[in-house]
Amino acid sequence: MPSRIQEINSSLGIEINSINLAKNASFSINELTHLFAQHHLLIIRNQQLNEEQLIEISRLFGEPAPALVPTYRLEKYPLITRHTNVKDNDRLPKGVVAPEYVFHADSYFTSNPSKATLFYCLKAPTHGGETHFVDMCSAYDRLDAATKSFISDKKVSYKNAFVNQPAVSHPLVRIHPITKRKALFVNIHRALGIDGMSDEDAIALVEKLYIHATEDEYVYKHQYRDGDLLIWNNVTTMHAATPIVDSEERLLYRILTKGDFPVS
Amino acid sequence: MNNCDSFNTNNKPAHVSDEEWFAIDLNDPLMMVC
Repeated sequence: MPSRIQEINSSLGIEINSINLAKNASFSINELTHLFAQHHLLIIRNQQLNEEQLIEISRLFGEPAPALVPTYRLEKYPLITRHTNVKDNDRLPKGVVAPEYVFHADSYFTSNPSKATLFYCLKAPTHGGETHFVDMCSAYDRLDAATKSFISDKKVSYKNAFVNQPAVSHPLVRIHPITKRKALFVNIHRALGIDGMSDEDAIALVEKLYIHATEDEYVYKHQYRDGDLLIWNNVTTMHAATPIVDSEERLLYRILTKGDFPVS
Repeated sequence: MNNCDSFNTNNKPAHVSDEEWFAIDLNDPLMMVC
């Protein structure tokens, strides 16, 4: 592994330094896709990207798609959503502010959840406003054999993101399309049940797996710096945002890429 | 202030169509970050 690449939190991801994606001079940009196949989270430091460059980079990881909620899409670049606690003259946020500390994979409650998320930090607070990550392959590996066997063919139904649409159903175990590693794919939020189980037992199992996956000792806590570009795999990770105090400014741009229908 | 305050049916941006706005589950603040 080149010296400019460092592993973080065991197998979760890598931090990449001394590359300039805007110039694409010191690093093969195609190597990013290779690294993304091998790691769940890429942290690329010290970037200076404009909106068009960010969108162009996102295309390496799938087809960019607008956020579900249109409120904070950039008017000129609707594939980008603004995340910020900065407020307008009416004291309303100019961007997404995470409502609470909830681990999730992006758009997991749609029929084809996002494949990758790009999160680019233009203005980092000195504290707070972190993103925390868990490795869902590692979470699967830590399960006992009986649980692995029991959940191998189970699917969880979730309340659909779109109103008047049937629930979406996703396997509890997903396979990374390249490495073939197994990953837990679970969330207690919006979970409705599991086919073949009573709702009570199903929700108890989902909650148990969710708590198992998000135990604090396995959480990587990312404190942003200006110029950080994070790219994470929504098949094999979950993330959560921590609160930010209003005296600090935080500004990030986010792009999601379209995912496939989850398969087990 | 969080998305529970900003994410409601009273602040639909002018450029967003009713069709797109009301197609999503407006009762869930997590929708915004997902």
